[in-house]
Amino acid sequence: MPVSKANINWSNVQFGSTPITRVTAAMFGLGGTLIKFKGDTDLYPSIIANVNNEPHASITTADVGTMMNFAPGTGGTLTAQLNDAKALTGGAVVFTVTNNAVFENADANAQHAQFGTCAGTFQFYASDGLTNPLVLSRA
Amino acid sequence: MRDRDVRNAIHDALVATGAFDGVVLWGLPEEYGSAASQLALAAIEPDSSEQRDEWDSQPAGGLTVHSRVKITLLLRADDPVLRDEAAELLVDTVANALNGQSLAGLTLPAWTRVTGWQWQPAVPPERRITVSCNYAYIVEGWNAYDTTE
Repeated sequence: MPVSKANINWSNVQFGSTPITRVTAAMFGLGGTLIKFKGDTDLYPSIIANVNNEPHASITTADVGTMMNFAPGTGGTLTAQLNDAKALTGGAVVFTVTNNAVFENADANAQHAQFGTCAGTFQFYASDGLTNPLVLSRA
Repeated sequence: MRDRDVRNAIHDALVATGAFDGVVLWGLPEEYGSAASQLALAAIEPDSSEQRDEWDSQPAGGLTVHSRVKITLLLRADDPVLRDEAAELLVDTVANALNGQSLAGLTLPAWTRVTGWQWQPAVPPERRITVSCNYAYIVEGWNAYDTTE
């Protein structure tokens, strides 16, 4: 059966040695930005270049205590799997940042009579300044 | 643990109040019969449940179950005013016994409470009040429901 080409729900979310469960939302971004050149008689950009990429992630969980327990500036490996909608092998997208994920911040929020949630943010860096630290694979 | 255990815990909590001559889990008196000497009676019956998928991924992620039980309070007395006052007192007694409790060690206290009650037409010497008690609990996995006898 072919993979569904759609994804639902997160599993295997972990930072360092700490599993992050009760995940309600997660976001991974490449953080790419472009600069444009326009000169002389140009009416449109004649050059567009990508010279800055700041990959990042945000994970929201109901497990407020675990997320708030990470200290900003802590580095480690961050992994998360976005599952295939039909739970088929090869359809899931696995996000992996080996060693180069840095925990940035956590914001907890809880409304009356609702489960509280905590959103943690992560920034990624490249040791050589050139290799994308955010690796995508299929599972 | 499952809803059955919660209903049993509700039974035990109501018995512990000492306010009832009988607390039953098997339905209303007209369905199973009860002694006329039981002047204050509570009948606990399952009402409805709803599953909610709050987080993570199937089948490992937990599910929350939100359930409601119906507790029919029955009060018999000759004086209609005293009867209704006593019936209303039973409602408050039930609320005090159940609100904010972790029933059977399973339910979430923040979502365990009496959420409403409805007076039924009086049939002298009897008055009934139907109480709704809502609660919620977490099943740690889509295939982790309790199947013990």
